[in-house]
Amino acid sequence: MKCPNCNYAFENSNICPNCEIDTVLFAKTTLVSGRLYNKGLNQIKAGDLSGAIESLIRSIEFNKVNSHSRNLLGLVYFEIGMIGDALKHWIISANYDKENNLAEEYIKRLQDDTATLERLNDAVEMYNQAIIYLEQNSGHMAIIQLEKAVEYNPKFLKAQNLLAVMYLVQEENRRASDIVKKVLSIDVTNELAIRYSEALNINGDEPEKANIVVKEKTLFQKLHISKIIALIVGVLCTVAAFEIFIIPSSSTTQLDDVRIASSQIEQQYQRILAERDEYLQHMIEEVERLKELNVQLNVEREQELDLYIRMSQINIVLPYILEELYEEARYIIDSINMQDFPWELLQSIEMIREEIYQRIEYNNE
Amino acid sequence: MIDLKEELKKYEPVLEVDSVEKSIKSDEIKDIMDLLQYISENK
Repeated sequence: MKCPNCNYAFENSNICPNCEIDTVLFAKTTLVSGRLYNKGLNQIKAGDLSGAIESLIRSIEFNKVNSHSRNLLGLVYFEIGMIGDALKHWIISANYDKENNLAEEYIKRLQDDTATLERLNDAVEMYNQAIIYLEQNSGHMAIIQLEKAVEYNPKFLKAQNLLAVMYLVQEENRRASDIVKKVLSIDVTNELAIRYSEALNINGDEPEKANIVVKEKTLFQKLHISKIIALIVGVLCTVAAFEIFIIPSSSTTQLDDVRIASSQIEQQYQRILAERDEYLQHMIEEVERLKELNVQLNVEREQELDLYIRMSQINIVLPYILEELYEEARYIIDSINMQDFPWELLQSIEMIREEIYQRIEYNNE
Repeated sequence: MIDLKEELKKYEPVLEVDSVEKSIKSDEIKDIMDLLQYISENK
């Protein structure tokens, strides 16, 4: 028999003496990988791109050299805007299988159309930048980046979903709803979009969605695998041709205008942020100054209160004098702390003290 | 209701074209046969 892995001919064993592969197990894993590829393909036909990605990744886990699975996974990634992941799988596929591999064709098409490649990659960079802004709590800057990202690539589902979240948080439900509907029209089982659709209570378009699935099933049921791949490639070519030949130069000018306007908005936003920071700093300094003033006023108030209490002690002395208890009156008047007393009051106290001392002296005689 | 902080945990950076080569090199591309071979070699 021939080893299915390295084509080495051998007999009387399941283990290939050349590559040491268990040929029975190898055949089984290849079969499972193929079945998962078919499942992924059917899921694509039904518009279930998330499910297809899962199946195709599992297919590759069973057989890493399954170029059909890798190429299809690349196409799905390309379709949802994950250009880097698409390229990665096509490059690996082309490396494993160099004969008649569609991956080489896909890579070549992208390399030949650098403008599209750059635009799609710019969208990814903007999405990644938006995540950085969100980590820095700069929600508005993140929204600007995400809006640009989906403008560059409207099929970039991750950016669309994140933009929907941002709109949801800002209670711009209509805009969020439009995005969620768009995402679900591309990927009917997109977990995040379904969640947001529930949060937005979108159910008016359920029959429409179901129709889309049924229509796609009817169309794809008539096609074979190779035709579907050819169809997807055809769509890519059409898009590329459309970009190159049909979009007039005025669109480029409009795009430039939008870019300039967007840049101006960004600059204006940065200026507002700087002004806000300056105002905040000013307010913080003002609060500190008022705190210090408050402390100072409290100290002064306490000092005044203390003086008032000490001054009122003289009133305690008078009843003792009237009762002719001069020794007790002398004890109290001598114990009063008269610091900071007004000069007039000091004179009056001194007169009372002299009177008390005289009475004591008189009584002793 | 959507909790932004919780929701953001579900979003990670996407692979950029410039990083594809590095990603391929750093990836340990393995399938079940690789794993079984590894296990049998280390028995």
